[in-house]
Amino acid sequence: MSATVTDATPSIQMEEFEYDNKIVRNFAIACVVYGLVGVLVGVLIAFQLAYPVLNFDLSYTTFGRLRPLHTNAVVFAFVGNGFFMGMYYSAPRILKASMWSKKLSYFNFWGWQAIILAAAITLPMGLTTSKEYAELEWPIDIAIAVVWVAAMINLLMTMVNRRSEHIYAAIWFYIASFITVAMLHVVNSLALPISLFKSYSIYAGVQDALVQWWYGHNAVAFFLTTPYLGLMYYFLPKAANRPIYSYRLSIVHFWALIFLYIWAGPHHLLYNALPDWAQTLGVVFSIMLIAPSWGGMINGLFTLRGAWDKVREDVVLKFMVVALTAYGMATFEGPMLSLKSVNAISHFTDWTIAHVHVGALGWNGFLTFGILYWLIPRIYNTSLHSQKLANFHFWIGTLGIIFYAVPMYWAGWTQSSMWMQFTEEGLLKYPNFLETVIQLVPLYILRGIGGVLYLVGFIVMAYNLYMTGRKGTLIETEAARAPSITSVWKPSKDEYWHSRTIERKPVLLSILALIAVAIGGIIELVPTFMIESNVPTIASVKPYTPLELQGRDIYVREGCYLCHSQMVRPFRAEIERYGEYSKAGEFVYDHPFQWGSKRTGPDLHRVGQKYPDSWHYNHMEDPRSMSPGSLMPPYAFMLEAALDTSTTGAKIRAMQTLGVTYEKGYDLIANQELMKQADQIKASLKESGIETKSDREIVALIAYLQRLGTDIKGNNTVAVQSGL
Amino acid sequence: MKFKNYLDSIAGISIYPLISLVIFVTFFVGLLWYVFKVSRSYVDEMKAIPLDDGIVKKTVLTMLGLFVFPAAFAQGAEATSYQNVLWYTVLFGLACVIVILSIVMVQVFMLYQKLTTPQHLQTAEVQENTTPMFSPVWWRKFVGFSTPLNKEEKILLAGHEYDGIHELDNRMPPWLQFMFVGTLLFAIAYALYYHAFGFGELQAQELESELAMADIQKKAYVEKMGAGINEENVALLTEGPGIKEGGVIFTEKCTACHAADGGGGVGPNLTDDYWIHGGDIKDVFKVIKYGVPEKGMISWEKQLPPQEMQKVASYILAQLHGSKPAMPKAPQGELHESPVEVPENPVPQAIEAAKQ
Repeated sequence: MSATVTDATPSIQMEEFEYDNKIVRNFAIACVVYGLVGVLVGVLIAFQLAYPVLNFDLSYTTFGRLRPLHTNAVVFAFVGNGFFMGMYYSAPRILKASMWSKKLSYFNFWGWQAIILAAAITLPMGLTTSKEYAELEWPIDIAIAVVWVAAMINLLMTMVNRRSEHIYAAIWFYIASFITVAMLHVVNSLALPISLFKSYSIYAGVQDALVQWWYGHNAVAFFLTTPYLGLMYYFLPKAANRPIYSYRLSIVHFWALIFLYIWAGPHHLLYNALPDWAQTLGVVFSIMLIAPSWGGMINGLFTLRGAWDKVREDVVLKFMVVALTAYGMATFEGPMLSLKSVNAISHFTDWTIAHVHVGALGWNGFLTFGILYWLIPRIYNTSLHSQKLANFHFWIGTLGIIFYAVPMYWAGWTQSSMWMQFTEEGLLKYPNFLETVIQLVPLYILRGIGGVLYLVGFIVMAYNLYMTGRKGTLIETEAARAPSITSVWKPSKDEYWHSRTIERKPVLLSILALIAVAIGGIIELVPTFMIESNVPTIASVKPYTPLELQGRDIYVREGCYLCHSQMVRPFRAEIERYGEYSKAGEFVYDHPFQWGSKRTGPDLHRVGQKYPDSWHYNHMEDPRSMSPGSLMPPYAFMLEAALDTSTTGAKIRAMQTLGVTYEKGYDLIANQELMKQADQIKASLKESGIETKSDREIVALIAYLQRLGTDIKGNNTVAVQSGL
Repeated sequence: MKFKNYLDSIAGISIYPLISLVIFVTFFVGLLWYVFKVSRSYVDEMKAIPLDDGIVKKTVLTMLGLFVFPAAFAQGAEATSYQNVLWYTVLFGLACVIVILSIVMVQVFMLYQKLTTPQHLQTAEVQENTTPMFSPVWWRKFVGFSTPLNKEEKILLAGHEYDGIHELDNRMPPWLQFMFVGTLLFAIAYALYYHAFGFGELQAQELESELAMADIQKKAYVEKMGAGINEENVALLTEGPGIKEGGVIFTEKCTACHAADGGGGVGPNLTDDYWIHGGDIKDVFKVIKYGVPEKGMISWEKQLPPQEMQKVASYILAQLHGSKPAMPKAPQGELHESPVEVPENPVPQAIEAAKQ
């Protein structure tokens, strides 16, 4: 304030406007409520992995359906609302202007809550695209795009109509997040609808995987990282009452971060059936991300220089320091996990789960808590109800993170080691996958306890904030005065170039940010689509039969991919355990791909024809009858549920549109073919003394499972010829 | 980059989680005990210790130290022979010791400086002019605190004020810049190593090397131990602990499909005289080894060593066959007249044979 106001001359026009605190309060409530729900579901599914009985024998509450609910609730509901809360508080104050449109602000709020509600209803119903963190079906995807872009326009127009000469770093991060997430969301969600709640990804196999992890990785970057860095740039200096450590560092780390982050997606697919060049890009860009990521942490921690004694007293700063430290740890660990040799150990194990939870519980969670403890008393014009409870929250939350992360790191190492260990005879030491899972149960219980500790802290915070709100009264709107932009607009020639150009021009800033984030994506995605040698075709790979296709959709619906990969990596230990490693050409008809990212159960890519039909039937009814000690939820409801064959024709036609080579007119006879194959399976089950009808869901699922990976069985020459 | 192979040789892995649990719980119980026991005055005393930038300094040093670890890992991976875990651990330990020592050295050095510098010389300007390289001043600059706290107004950016937030114009910490340049160089070198010069193995070649290495090891093992049991030379075990061990394996691996008493379920009944693929020890061994994939019997070749397959086959023929299961599945296959005469009481017969 000081510089502009004290220079006041008669020509300066003071303008009056208001800050809307009600929208901030609304988002804060949504953030806390959905955060609680998200953590609670997380605790439930954590214990499901130790006690399968907690799946309650209901289709709606199986791990496969609740896990997406957990991730979506935490990412989009908790962190999403947290971001909006902070943004609607900080952006108007930084820019010295009311939000451009109050209507858009409230459209943003109610639209976002409606989307979350729709997610909470559809995900347990099994309506899912099976693309991780993008599971919601196409109508909800469209709603997300609309609401998100509305919020973006609101921010951009506020930037245009601001009263501050320059635009502060926090806003750069906000607008870059909006632009990038819009781009990622639209490209990744492109799908062909066959009904109101079912669609097929327009990409197949390798391409689908690449697009999905380009999205998935950058959802972490631009939904969980950059928006929160923006919040950090506002709330940390406010809470510590210290100037930001380095303006230059914020410029360099902002541009380096958004440019480099986009490229790192393929590190989620190391040693998978992805071209080597793409994997290498994923590795090297991840390594280059260390310093730009740490730039944020350093700029935050060094801002506290001279204020460390405050950290001892102030619970807000305590939360923020742990958040930044967790951010620093996670962004160092991430690049390390991207090294192929480390990834060979960590991929598909709980190590990844530990890694993301250091980020989610530490960075996102603790920064949100810090902001809430700072912000709620301010907008209610009172002081925090209880510092003691807040301190209790801090310590139990920190303990919760440690109790969560440490057992998961051990679990990851243990399981990976067991997968890879051979005996002297050259056989797998632990050939039965189950042995490697049962080993982890005690660690899963400990992890659950960590989650409970974190949840307790969360509940205490909710109570504390509620009491704070009751004590004070909400200042719904705050009046403010500032000189008009024309009266403070004094560009000078010797001004630093970044201040002179980019920080004065919001549209230019947005365009440059879009260019920075578009480059990496274009260079990685386009060649994979255009150049055929990247996905060598295999002659013996044929489209799925109608029954298998229906079975595949059940596999997708139940979220099997959350615990079972379909990707045998080219390691001796995996070939020995599962069979021939997976080739890129095997997935050309997979809309969407089902490679998975975690093996709580074994890989299924070569499970076809490995067990008899009856084994699968019994195993689905009660997994523990065939695999004693298994952690899989029972799927007995599939034995009774009738298969919906009314969609078969539409599904075949959709696949044809997407380029799957069914003959013309096949959709008309698809259901006859389906029944023929179903009758065969029924007969084979009967031979083993199992009576079932052919039109049950279990029959379709068995058909799909028995087909998996069989196209090139005993046919390795084809694969060799095609260059893999 | 053959890091993953080092795990092959960690034996007895199953004890790890338990050890980790014990360490973990012990640590926290200890911590809790300490927290409850600690006296109030001690806590107050600790609270009163002034916090200055030393904390940050140490943190940054430790983080820098962390960088030595990956370097040590890479060194170990290149320098040692396959599976040499001990050497590798020693290197790691050495790296840790070096890092800790250097941290201690720097701290001692700084303390020494502080103690020996006369009070009136302890202003920033004087130090800047007189102290040699790697002095505390150099260190402060390297960390990123070249401007002392009390001179901060000099680098406060004019015209940058946002809702009370100001910005300092500190230069970027040199160590962070070096790190950034270092990772850029690493990225270029990595890409060239794998794709331009072809030094590094891409994943397909890597697999070939891994399989070749495994073959060599397996051959060496067979040479040492002599040829193993196969379907040509397998013999029925009729007594001794082998049958019992076979039973244990059967309970663990086979009961899901063949029932605990061999009466069958998903798979056929193993107690009757009817066999789908022959009831000889060699036949049964063969079915276990290779499986009958088209009928759903899986192959156990990769899961069980030959001796164990022999034990299971023997257990089936000697123990299960002829027993009375609770819920026998209907006979399948052809009648196989008593595959091998299992003598009622083998010991006297053997004695008789010996007499003759």
